[in-house]
Amino acid sequence: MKRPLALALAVSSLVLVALPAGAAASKRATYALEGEARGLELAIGDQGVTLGLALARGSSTPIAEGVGAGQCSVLGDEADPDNLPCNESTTQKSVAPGEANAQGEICAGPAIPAPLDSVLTIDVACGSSVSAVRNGTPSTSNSGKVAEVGLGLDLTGLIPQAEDAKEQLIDQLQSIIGGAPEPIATAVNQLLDAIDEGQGAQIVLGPAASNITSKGDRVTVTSTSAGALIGVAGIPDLNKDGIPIPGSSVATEDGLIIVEVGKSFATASVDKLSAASDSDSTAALVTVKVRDITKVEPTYTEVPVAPGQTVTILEGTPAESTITAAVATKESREGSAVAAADAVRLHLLKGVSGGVKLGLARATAAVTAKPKVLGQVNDPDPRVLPMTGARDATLIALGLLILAGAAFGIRRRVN
Amino acid sequence: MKLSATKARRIKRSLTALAVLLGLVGGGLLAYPFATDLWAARLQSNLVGGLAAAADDYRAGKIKVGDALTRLEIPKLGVDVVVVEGTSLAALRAGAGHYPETPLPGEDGNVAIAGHRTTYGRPFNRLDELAPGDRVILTTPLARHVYEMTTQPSVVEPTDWSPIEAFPKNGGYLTLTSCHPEGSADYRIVARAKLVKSSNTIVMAERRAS
Repeated sequence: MKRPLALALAVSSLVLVALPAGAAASKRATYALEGEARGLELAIGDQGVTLGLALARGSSTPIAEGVGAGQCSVLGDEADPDNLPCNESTTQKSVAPGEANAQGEICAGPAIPAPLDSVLTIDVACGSSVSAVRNGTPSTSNSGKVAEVGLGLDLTGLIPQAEDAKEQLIDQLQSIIGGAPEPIATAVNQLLDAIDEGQGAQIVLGPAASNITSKGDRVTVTSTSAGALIGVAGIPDLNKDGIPIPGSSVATEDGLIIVEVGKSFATASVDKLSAASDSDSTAALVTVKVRDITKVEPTYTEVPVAPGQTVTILEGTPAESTITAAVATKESREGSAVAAADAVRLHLLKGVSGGVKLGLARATAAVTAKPKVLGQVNDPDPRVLPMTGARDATLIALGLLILAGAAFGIRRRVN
Repeated sequence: MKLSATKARRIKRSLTALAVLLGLVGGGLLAYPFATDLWAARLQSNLVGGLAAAADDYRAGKIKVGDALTRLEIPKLGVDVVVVEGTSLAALRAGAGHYPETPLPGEDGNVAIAGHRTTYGRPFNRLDELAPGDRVILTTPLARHVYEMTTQPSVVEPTDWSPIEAFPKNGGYLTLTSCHPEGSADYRIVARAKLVKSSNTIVMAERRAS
């Protein structure tokens, strides 16, 4: 009698395990996620451009949508995805479920507005966006990027001609790179002859990306900005006669100032069933380097910039530049989680026509969520699309037949 | 353990009743899909004749819930089914039903049809295999309409009516819905196609006859 009983118990357990698999799906949270990443916001005077933008949105509806743009004009604090001032030939949009999900990347030469077009050169800008809804969960992948950015600044005004202004630059450089005043004074005079042959500024910019992904019951929005390398006031090589060689300067390798902006990151996630949310962020690290101009080979002294700190270098000279390192914030409360990595702010070469303002590596991510259990007393019965697929009951049927067989087996052994 | 004869008889009787009950329910559950398929096949054979005779009702826009509305063919999946008007449980026993709030086949807007993924002939069993470019043909008593898939099928919540309701684009579209995943009603799978060609079957038949 023991064997049929054990068999019956095993089958009952199997049926009990099989049944709740679908029942868990009736308890789902309503949620919405959004993320945004910007590569570079650049302004000269009152003109500006945004290079590399990615937006991602998704919800439990489920809807997934995104935008990847290579080039846009100045964006406000909050970019409106339905009304983006972006160059369409560098912008890809996608929405799911929908009529035309964008596939792949779209690239074009950016259209830079005047008068920025006279100083700003960008080879190509690209946007990509792909959205989908899989098993009722949104997913979207978006990125915006540009190739190398060149800034053709007029550097002749960078090195002061007047003696007292020159003294000021020598003092400032000495305070950063050290060394005796005499070699620095000589180097500044050499720089005066060479600087107008150098590259104004060069920016090598990583892509901005914002994605929504899911793993198990967790849906996550992640925004990243890959950072940048900025070289300012390139110093050209000199030939054996001490004459600067035109075109020999690469500002990110030989510039008077080089700024390295690291990767920033913001993420927020939500549990589809419980609505529990969480967030995290990392601000971009900033490294500022000032070139020791008394040495022929590019040699740099690092100026430390702590998160949230503002540092001014070469103060009082036309090359005066201010660098503000970013801070990262995260906040989770019931029903929402927000993370933000603020932009690294640079105001470079203030003495050259007002200078260049840059905002780099901004990333934000947010979720809102509300738990919901379908079928609760106070939950209005939702209108559902027609049910056209019965739950597969083969396993239950087989279980019942085996139980019936077991009951017969037990019956035969009863005396 | 030795039981008294009366007690043993009683237990035997109870176990027999339990075994028979479990066997009947289990057998019923196993047979259910096949029974619904047979039911749908019987309904379909009646609907084919009904569709041919429905030209006048169709022209007048007087198709009743449960009556044949259009023949639906999906060559890639080997689907050939008569779609009835309505998406009630009773109407959908035919296999596929037209959402009454949406336009009729060939009209501008979004024609929506629900079909069974499992049971009742399961005409939309392989809906997930459709791909952009695949054709879906609707043949009404008045005309033949060819639709072409525009995207991969997507999956939505059962409460999401946006694929049926919200449709801002001009032109004729067709949306097919079914339960997802197969053997479950947790989600709905949605396939969307665009009208690419319409031809008047009556005019064609008259031409052929002449």
